[in-house]
Amino acid sequence: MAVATTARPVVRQPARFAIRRRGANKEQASALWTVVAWGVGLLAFFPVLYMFLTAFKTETAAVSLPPRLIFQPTLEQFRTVLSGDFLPFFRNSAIASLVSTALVMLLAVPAAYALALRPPKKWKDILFFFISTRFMPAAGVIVPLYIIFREAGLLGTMRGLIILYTAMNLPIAIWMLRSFFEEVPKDVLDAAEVDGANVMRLMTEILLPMIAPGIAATIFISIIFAWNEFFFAVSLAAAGTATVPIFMVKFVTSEGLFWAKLAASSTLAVLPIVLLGWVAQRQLVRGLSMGAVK
Amino acid sequence: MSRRSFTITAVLMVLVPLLTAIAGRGALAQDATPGASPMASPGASPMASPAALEPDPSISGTIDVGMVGNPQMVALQGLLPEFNRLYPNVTVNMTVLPENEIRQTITQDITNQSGQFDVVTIGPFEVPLWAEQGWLEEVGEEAAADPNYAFDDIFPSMLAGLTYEEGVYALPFYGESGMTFYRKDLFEAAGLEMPERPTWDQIAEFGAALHDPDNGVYGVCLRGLPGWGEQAAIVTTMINAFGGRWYDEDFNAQLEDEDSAAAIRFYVDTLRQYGPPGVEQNGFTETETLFVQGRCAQWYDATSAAELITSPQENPEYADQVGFAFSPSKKLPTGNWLWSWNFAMASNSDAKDAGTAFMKWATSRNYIQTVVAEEGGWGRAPTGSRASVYQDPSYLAIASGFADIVIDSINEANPNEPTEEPVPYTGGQFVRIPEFTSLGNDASQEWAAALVGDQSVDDAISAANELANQVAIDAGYQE
Repeated sequence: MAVATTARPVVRQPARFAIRRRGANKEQASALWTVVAWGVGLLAFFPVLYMFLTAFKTETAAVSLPPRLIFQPTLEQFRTVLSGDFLPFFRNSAIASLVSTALVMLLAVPAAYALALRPPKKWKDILFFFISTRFMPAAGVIVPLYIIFREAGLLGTMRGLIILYTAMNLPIAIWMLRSFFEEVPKDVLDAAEVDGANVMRLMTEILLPMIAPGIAATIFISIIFAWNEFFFAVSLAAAGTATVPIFMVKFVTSEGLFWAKLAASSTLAVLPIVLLGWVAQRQLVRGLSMGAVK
Repeated sequence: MSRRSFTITAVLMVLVPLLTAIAGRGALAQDATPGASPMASPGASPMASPAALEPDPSISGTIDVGMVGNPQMVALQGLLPEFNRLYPNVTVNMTVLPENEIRQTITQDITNQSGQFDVVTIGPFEVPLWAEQGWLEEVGEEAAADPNYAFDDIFPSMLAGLTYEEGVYALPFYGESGMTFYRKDLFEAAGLEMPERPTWDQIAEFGAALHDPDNGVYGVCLRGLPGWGEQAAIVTTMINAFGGRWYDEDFNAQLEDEDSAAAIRFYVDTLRQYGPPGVEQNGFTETETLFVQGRCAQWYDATSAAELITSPQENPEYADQVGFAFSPSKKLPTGNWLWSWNFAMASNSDAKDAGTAFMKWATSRNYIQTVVAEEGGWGRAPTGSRASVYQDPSYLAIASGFADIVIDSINEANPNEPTEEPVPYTGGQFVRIPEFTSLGNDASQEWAAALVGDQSVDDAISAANELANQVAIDAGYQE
């Protein structure tokens, strides 16, 4: 932030003054933006914080008005929530997210490579076709999907869920990865080819390491989407392979108070993703700030 | 490098104990499978005595059960080890979801005959309709043949909603009618007295007297959230009480008829004058929350709320100030509200013996004893389906204030003839035609629009009437 003022060569007095003033303005503006960014950040984070706090309240404290930020914390809700069968839900979510993401990457990396660096004829149409599969709202396809799943014996199975999440995340992964591949300088590719590297070598030794942050970001987004997915899971897999979001909502009842229990189960549900994001944050920030998803 | 390895170590330090804890919990939860840790059999129970059940290893199979996530069902889930003590060769897989989601999931499964569920919780709205389609198994005969099950103990009015052509197609787990709750302290302070059987006009008068929005107290609380099982349930019982009806005998919509329109107008006007702000967002749970927060002087809703709002855990501040009265009357003494959550078995189940054993266990007197003994109280015990509960001294000790009103309301409700004038449908707080789920949702949207002032009450009534007529024409009910 302060670099701009010192790095410039200074020759004449008036110019120096002007630069300094511009610099001061810039600093003021940047301080203002910092405040705004913090404000927006806190606003966006507040619901998560409130959920976290509510998870440690009793049910009656959770609904008390005005809401209390200072209260006697209790682990009662976590005890109730964990006294159920959390593990099978967690296992189902983990398998569905990780396996579908592995499949997505296996298919999306070659597809994105081809589209970005060896574009076939009408590559724009192909790209558009991929994303067009996401245009229809999920509710619009649920009935035919349900019938297909029933006929194929996929209702309530892990296979069904993995196929679904792979298909759901594939278009987004291809789009993201393609934009990362596009950022690779042509010269690098040419040099590799001159050196006689085949596609496999080019991919594993040159391209993938170069776009590693992009790949990390794509993997992360694919896992998040699969982990958080509720609608397909509740419609097609609730009996048999229920996932964490389904575990979460089972505390919602039409009879009696449930906010604190829901907050506790939601906290458990988001915890793995938050930890994953924390571990991968450096890669993520780089990945999300390059390519098309700026 | 070293910073990264520090980060990884730190994450592992957090993750490993967490996962171990979760895995530990999981292992405990898995003990619920057959053969694991038998629970102490229900000991001394205060209730008049069904014989203790003996383990029956002859029945085997795996059943998938879809249940609505109400507290009573969650308690049942926790008592599966007791079921497995009695039926060690039956494995029960449970799917518990909130009402809307489980309805959607179960309806998809049963109406498509997908066979994911063997046993499901459904209401009296679905039971006769689905039985007619051949989607449900008759279960009454076997239950009636078992003397220990005490089939006669179940309220006849509850069974009436679960019957199709002489057969009983579901067993009631718990049931409810409608009643009025009020705050005794507020009534006392204002010098008012709630009669045991109030009229709707009295409710409005009391509402006017007690409405004090500056102090956060609202005169009348009712569900306003659109939905056939939320707002439409309340309004339908009000239409019944006011002498109105949804349809005449030829399925011509009657919502614009004088009595029906008066009920809807009364509902909207009362809530606009004496209701809480944002009432169109309030379903049962939100309204209960308002009541527990001390914001409602009066509340007309399901009898099952009585146990919740008199529980000091659920309602620490006002539990001892809750007064009880019957459903408000107008032309009819009652709106004929009657609902139950029931266990029914899919006719394409491949484990019918195991399914029947589970349904009978869950709806038995033995189960009620078990849950009371295990939980040390009636908080999550199923009530409102069996008469014997209302003779049980331990239940009466906590429910003396409302038990008589509940039992009389259940007995007096007649959802098979819910209206003053004859109708071609049955159902107290719903119209038992398959199309009512969407009709109720759409009509209550119109009434909610009147609640928030987006349209006049008369426009809302006409619009709902139009919708009801269209449904009758489209479905071929109307000539």
